[in-house]
Amino acid sequence: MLVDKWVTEGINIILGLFTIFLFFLYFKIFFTMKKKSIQVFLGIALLVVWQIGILNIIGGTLAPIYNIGMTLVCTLVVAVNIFEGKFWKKCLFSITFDAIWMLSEMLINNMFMLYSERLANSQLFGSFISKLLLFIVIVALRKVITTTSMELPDSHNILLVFISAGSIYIMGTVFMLAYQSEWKYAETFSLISVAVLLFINVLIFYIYRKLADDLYVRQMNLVYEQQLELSERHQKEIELSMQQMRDVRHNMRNDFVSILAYAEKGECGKIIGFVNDVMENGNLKPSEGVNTGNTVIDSLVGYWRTTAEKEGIAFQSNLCIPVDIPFKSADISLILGNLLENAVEGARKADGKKYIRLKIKYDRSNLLISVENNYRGELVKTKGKKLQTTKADVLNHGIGLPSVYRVAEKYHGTVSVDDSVSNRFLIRTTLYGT
Amino acid sequence: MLNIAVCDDDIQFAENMKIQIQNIAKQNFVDVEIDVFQNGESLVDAVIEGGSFDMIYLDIEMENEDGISAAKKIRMYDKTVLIIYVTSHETYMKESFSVRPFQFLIKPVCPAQMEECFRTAYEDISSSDSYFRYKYQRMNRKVLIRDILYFESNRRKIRGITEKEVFEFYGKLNEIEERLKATAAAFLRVHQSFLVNYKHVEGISYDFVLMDNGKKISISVDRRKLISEQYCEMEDTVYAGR
Repeated sequence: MLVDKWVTEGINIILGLFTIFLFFLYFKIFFTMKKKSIQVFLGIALLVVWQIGILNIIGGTLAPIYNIGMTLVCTLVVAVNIFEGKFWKKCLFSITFDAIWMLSEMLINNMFMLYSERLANSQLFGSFISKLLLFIVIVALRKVITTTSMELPDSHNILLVFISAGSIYIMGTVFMLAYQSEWKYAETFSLISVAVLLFINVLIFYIYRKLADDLYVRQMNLVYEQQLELSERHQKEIELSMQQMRDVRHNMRNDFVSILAYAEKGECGKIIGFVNDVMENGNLKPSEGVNTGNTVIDSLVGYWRTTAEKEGIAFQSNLCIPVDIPFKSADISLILGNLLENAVEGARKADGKKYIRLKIKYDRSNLLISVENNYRGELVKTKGKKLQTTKADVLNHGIGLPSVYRVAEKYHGTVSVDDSVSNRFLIRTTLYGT
Repeated sequence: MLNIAVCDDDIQFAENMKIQIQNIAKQNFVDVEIDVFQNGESLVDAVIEGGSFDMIYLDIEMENEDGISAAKKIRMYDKTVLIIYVTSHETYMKESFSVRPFQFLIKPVCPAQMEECFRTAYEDISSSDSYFRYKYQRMNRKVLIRDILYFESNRRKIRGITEKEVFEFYGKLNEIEERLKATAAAFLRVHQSFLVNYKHVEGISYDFVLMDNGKKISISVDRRKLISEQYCEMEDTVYAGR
């Protein structure tokens, strides 16, 4: 008898370890492990104690309802401790894990009840077969779900939690009813409903993935829309500069006529004065000095300069960049377009003398961009210290700065906002070229 | 006292620049001595022979030796001199950026730009023109801040590395950082045990700085964001150009 007991104990421990293995197999599909070793260690320790200890000590004596509650709490605590990610996402996946686990146990149990009473009474064998079923489900999930970077907003996660939590409840009820019922087919129907519930729970993953894909597509659409808008703007700027070229050519003709007139009279002094005037007025420079040879930067800065000056905002710029900078023009135009647009929006509402100061510098193969403007009012910050838009239409606005952050990250760079002086907004971006 | 070189093959333009700079300096109460060079070779020779300049106004388009190659040669001997390119082109070649130019001025140079450039350059130079003082073996010693490449700490001992020598003393890097902050000299704490002189940083990326003596110092992970922000701030000197 003693040897028998030892064997049972051993098998129990092996099954516990198998559960731990399944736990990791499942969660690693959706989450990455945390780096902090203490928390992970605590989580794993709890998992081991729960799986090996509790089954032997109190597992048998607890009422089913407490057992289920215990399982739910333990899985959640362990998942929160070990893995990275949002709380509600962990909540959803740990409850779904429990639901699938319980449902497969129930399914196997039901099947045994139908075919052989003897097998149903052997706890160990049932537990083993149900874990095997769980294993098959998880392996199938691993095959189907490949994308790991799925993030849904909390509201979606909470809604999905209801499905799995609800099915655990229904399963419990069905089990109780079938157990107490005298009806001949109770077990068959119970088996079918458990199978249906299991299927619904597996479907959650499919729904989750679809929702995540949908969200991603929507985000990308916003980015594309923005790029389209930028290229439209670019087009406008080119038209504008063509117009200016025409004006210059026209003026040049007039200027030559005047010079010729002075020359014919032999008035050298007047010619010098006239030429100086023309040069100072900048009539010779079509694009008001924005000319670095870099078409993207030139046209963007030119566009925002004219827009700003139309609104009575003084536009100061200092562009110290070579013709061919080793950065993608799409990225540069995204950053510059957003920063300058924000600057114009901000300066427009400023009191007193409105101004924008832009500095772009190419330094040691890195690109440094600073934009400064004055504004009126308060900046709104979210928890992560990122700035929130102050515009009313939050959904469509505020995409600007996040995409600047995103591009900066791509170049290992940073975006920093200096608001230490009141009513002065200064944003600096560093992009590393190496 | 600032030593300034003006190099342009158009002698009239160079003399004109000299007068302009002298006037600006007088208005800002700065003592200057200006040498005019007519070609890149003579300027490079002067630097090699030990003529130490604080600022060089350098024409890019010159016959024989152009400004960019002259600047490269000068950089081999003098890592900290401020090079200000004067050019009649509105677009700059990538090559001209390899010597870390302080600013570009476009001919014809407008007086307001000239003055703004001079002032920011003067501020830049005077911020590192003082001495770092320390005590070692009961002796008070000093070393010019702009000669220091970086400080390295090893427990209580601190090593200061200059172009020519290494000096040691006892202290804390945190205290030195605070002291240098007060003098407005640009130093970056890239690592718990490294404090580097920004003037001597030849290359900078998100995870390391390359000093101009070839020493590569990595930026510790938790400081990268801060260093990146400080870097951008340092280069963002207010100057109204084009």
